[in-house]
Amino acid sequence: MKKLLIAWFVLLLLCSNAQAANIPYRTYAMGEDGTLVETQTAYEPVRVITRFGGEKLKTPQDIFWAANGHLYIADTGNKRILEVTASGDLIKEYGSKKTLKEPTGIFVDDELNIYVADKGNRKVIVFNPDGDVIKTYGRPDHPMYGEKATFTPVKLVLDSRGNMYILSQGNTNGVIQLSTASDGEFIGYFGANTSAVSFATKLKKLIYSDDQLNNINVIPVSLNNIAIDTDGMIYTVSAKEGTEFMRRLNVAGSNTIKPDWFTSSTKAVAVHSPSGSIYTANINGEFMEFNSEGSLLFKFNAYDSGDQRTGTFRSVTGMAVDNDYTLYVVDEIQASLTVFKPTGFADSVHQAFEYFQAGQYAQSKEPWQQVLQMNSLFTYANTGMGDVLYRENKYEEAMEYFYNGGNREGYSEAFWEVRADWLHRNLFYFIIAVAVLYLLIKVLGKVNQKHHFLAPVTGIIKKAGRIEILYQLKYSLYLMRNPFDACYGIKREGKASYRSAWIVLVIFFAAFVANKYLTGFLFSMRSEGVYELPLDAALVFGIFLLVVISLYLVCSIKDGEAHLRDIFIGCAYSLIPVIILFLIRLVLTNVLTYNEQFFITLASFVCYGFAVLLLVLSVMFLNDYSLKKTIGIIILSLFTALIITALLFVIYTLSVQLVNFISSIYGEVVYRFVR
Amino acid sequence: MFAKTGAFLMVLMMLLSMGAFQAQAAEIPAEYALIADNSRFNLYLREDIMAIILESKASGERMYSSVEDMASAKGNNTWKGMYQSGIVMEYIENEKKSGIQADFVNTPHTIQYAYRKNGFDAAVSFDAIGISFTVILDMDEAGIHVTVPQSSILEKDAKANTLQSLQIFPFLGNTLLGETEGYMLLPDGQGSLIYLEDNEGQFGAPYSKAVYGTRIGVDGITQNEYLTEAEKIIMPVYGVVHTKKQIGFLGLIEEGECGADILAYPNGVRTNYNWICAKFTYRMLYSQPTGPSSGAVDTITDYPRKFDLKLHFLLQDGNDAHYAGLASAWRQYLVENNQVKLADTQKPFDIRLEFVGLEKENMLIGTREVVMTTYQQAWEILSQLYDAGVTGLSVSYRGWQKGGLSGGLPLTGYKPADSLGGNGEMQNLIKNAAERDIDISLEADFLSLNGQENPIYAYQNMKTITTKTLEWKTYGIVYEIMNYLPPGRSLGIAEGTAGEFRREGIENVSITGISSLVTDYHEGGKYKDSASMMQDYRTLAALYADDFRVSMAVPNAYLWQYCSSLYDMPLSDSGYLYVDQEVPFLSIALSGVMPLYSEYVNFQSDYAYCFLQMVEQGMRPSFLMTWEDNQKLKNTNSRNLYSTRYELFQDLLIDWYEQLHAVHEQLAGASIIGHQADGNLRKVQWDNGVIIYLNYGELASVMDGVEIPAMSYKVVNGDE
Repeated sequence: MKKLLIAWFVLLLLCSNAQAANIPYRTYAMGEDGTLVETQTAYEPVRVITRFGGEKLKTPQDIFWAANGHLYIADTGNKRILEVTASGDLIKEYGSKKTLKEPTGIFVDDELNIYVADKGNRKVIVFNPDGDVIKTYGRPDHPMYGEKATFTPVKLVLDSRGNMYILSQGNTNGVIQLSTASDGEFIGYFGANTSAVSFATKLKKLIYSDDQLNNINVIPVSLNNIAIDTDGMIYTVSAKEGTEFMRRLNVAGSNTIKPDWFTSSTKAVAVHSPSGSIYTANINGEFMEFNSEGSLLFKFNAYDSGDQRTGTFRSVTGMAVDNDYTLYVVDEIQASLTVFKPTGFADSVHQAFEYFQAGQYAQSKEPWQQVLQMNSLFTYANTGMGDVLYRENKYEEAMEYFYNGGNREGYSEAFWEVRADWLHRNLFYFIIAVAVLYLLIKVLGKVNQKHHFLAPVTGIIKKAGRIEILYQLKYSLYLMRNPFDACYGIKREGKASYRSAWIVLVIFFAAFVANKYLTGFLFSMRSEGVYELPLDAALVFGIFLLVVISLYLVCSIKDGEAHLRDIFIGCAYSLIPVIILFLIRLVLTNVLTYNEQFFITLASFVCYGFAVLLLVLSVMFLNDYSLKKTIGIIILSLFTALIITALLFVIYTLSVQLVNFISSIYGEVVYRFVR
Repeated sequence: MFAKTGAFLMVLMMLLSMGAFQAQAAEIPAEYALIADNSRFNLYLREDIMAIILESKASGERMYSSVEDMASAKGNNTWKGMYQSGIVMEYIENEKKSGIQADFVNTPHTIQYAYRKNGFDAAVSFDAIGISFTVILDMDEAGIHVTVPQSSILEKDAKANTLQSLQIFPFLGNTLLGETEGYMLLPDGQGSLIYLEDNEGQFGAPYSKAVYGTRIGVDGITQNEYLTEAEKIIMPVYGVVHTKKQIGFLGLIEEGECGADILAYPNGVRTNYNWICAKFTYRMLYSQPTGPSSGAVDTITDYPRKFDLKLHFLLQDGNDAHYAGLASAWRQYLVENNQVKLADTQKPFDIRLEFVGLEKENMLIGTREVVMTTYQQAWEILSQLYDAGVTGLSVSYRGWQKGGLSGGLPLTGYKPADSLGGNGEMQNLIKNAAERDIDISLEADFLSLNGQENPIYAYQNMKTITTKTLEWKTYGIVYEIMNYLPPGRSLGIAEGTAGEFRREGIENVSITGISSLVTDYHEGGKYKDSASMMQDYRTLAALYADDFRVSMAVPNAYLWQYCSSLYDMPLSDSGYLYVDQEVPFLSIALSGVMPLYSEYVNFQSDYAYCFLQMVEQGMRPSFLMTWEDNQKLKNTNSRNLYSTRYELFQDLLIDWYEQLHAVHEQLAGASIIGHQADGNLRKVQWDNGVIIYLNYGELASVMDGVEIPAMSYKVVNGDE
């Protein structure tokens, strides 16, 4: 342990760099329950550069980190491209007011040729490393390009085969693919963002005629930025929200990633090719790093709300990342380049992921341990350690890490192993115990027949059966066996009462609560540490009463025979199968793994079905309805319940308004006249 | 060859520039008259606009309180009034409820000077507005003192116009664009410098911060889950140094901090000038909502904040005209005026451990306790460290009381939590620790109020001046919000608690909460000004300082005199874009005077960097410690404490202690007198002759012929 610590300290020493001041933003990582939790700073701003060798930036729109280690900035406002170093030295200037009008996108190939998307000239202009224009590409005249389609290139990338992928403003057909090998020939459109179809549009599709439908313009959301990795995967980001805000497109143009977090107005994307880490930034300086599987690693919101702190932004337009995970960000309003370095913490996380992706699980153990040392709540480190330990056959330890990491699949598999092991060791004893128990009961039964030594106990049970309330409760079970008869008993013979129904309801509530909060980790969906008993009570009793009242109201105007009491009891007693389900679930969820999930699903299906059936039959028999009428009544009742809810909501809103109004008048009077 | 020519040119330029300033030194503008001096400086006054010139007797260099070249000055009349006028006032026209500037250039006024040796009383009157006050100026060896007594402020027709704010010599030390070399010193965190360079209009907004932190009762609490808070001003100072001319001053707010803001305008922000000043606000104009959702009326605070404005300019020239020189002068001022307690000056080096005792998490019904460090476990940690050679330990216990860290707020007495071991174990811990010379200090927060756990206090909370309850979001899942107790209530429970502490033999107390809050507020339907809050907190601090050894969390400077040590101190500044360099001004000023403990090392993302900062500043590290794993905290309000487990930090603690102890052994009782930064290199000079070189860079470097490895330091004894 000590050696490890010292090694870690040395590592930190090597990784560190001169940071400045307090970090203005908090960094978040994914928590075990799918919410964000705070973590150590992962990236710290080390430098903000506004001038390179005396040259000031003006509304820069894009940045590219090239193979020679230099940065290329599209200095849009000054109509030029700057080749600079990360420490602020100017290497070379490309383009002039004659050659470039509004350079907004930039890409540099391995031979250091510079491809510039010039929005103003509506051309792609290529410079060689000496700064000469060696080629320009204008609007393709291919018939497939589309008659009305415009060509206003804003961003671009180039793949190893020499195909350019160009984002053109106002052209929503997709990424324009041009071949540089065959003189800019148009290859086709690539990976358009699917159009955002709203609920209203879907509704319209259902009811509109074909003519009307043709008049609805469904325009796909246009893409904001594009990046490419060394494997030729294309990354795009768009302004839209949802998991498609960032996409990774394969050669066929289909999306191969589904990020587990998203934001809106994303303006920049960069990819760290060696590891596949993807960085996105939105216009307000909300940065996210995803691993190659689309899991959010780090997120920080560095918006400059006017405080002007280093490392915050007004309008991010471009981003690049080098092979050491250093981030370079340009902001058009600040006209600056900000350099972010990964901290020792982020370095450990990256290293662990790199080992993990390379299948070197054993090697990933050490960096994961370092990460956990700095932040024991870091989910990926917990999951990562779980994976490592699972492979080392240390299932119980793995379970604990998976639990801490909130990784249910991993936990399930580790638990399966632990349970199998337990069964393996204990099955024999278990069988013996069952057999012994069985024999014991048999023997006792026989003995009891002869000597009646259990008579006092059976006496008590019989006596208890004669206590009215217990009898009424027991009667609820009879409803399950013979609903017709039982309903008659409830309606005519007073075999049940409000009291007994309330008791069943309370038992139901207790089972509901137990099921909600004591369900095993694998099957529990609630957030840990959050208990909302009052809300649960309001939910259970509220819905129950709403259903009962609605049913009663509808039944009473539809010639139903049942009294409110009967419906109340009928509904309460119909809940018995669900109570049984809750108890079964409680046991099963604590001993089953995902492999045997079927049993729980089956039990749920049977019990809920049974409960609904009982409810329908109760309503039918209590009111003496036909089945068809009963179903009609139930639908009507649900509708009634909806209306009651809406009414309550309206009353609530109105009363809030009234209170506001009165207190406003009071406030105004006090401040205008009294003071 | 090149070098030779370069040297020749430099000498030539120096000669030329000397010639230039000698020519300038010859003529003080005719409107100015010499009115005071001390052994190092002359003070000239221009009567009509109360402008001053400071002149170094040794070099003849000057600093002006007005813009010199008004002929080419740009800006509207209001700005021109600001450029020149020695005092700028803002008043509120009550009818219109708007603030208006009055100055000695644009506004009719009379000033009657009554001179005496080295100073004057000036009776200022803006007759048309109906506001008058007296400005008292004195010069002595300690510099210039300017006072505006509260009693001299007269508002003839308070119904028509009332005083809003005053700025005294706002343009003192001003420079145009990048004409003069030097910097402005901001009291941001440790301290920051804005170089007097031409910014080419790069920055849009000035630095404007209230001394001793945002007045949350006026401006409300703005919280952002995603951004960290900028550093508060805890030292009521600001400064300007013209490095080439070797002249500078430190503006020190002696009284009136409760109404003071520090404003710093780098060139390009509104004007072409660099200027920094303190602005004293007496009354505030605010919008009083009349209902929960809409409607508001403009309102003025009921009475002016009650303070005598006292501003003291500490002057430096020659080699002392440097931020380290200003810090040293301030240190001397603090010591001479008993603004710091000298009790623990010689306290041997130690590291601070803060234990977290108890937290709470939700249960089906109510909450349950989460035990993180029992008293016995705390002792276990201490003895393990002690046995490993870490003998200098200073300990504070957080969440030691019933209810724990967030459930037990405010602290209402001596109530050790039973689940941590109860009073018996607590007394054992204190006794055992005392035998090894370790102080156990109990954290006391008399300000934060957990209304959920302490409903009796919930109806006596602090309100904003618009009578809205002050709430602070915890972003936690157990207690979502916290409130504040008003100072009167804090004082009441603090008195009771002090009695119980005394009875139980507690000797050390760490006070947090009240130590860093100053604001105007509303209590019981009445407006109370920030001066009254400071007075109450002063009483509270004095009460504790009498009987206990008190340490305070980032305390505002007016409380330093009651503290034996300060903790949770910033290591850097807020990192504003317009700041060119951060400097450890605060650490320099308090070096050798009071032990300073840093903010928690745990949550720093770069321990090695943090370690070098400790060495550079002579700061002592501070760690937050728990015995249990942090997983246990994840359903509590302290889920953001993601790394505090002792086991993981043990080796680091021992290692840091050994290294820092070795450094501090050479520094015992000494103070910093010089500080220099050159790229990634730093040079810190101590007054006992020790020099520490540091290298924050990734490559080994050489400074003064001393080679310093990458990310490392070297201590050089002056005698060597």
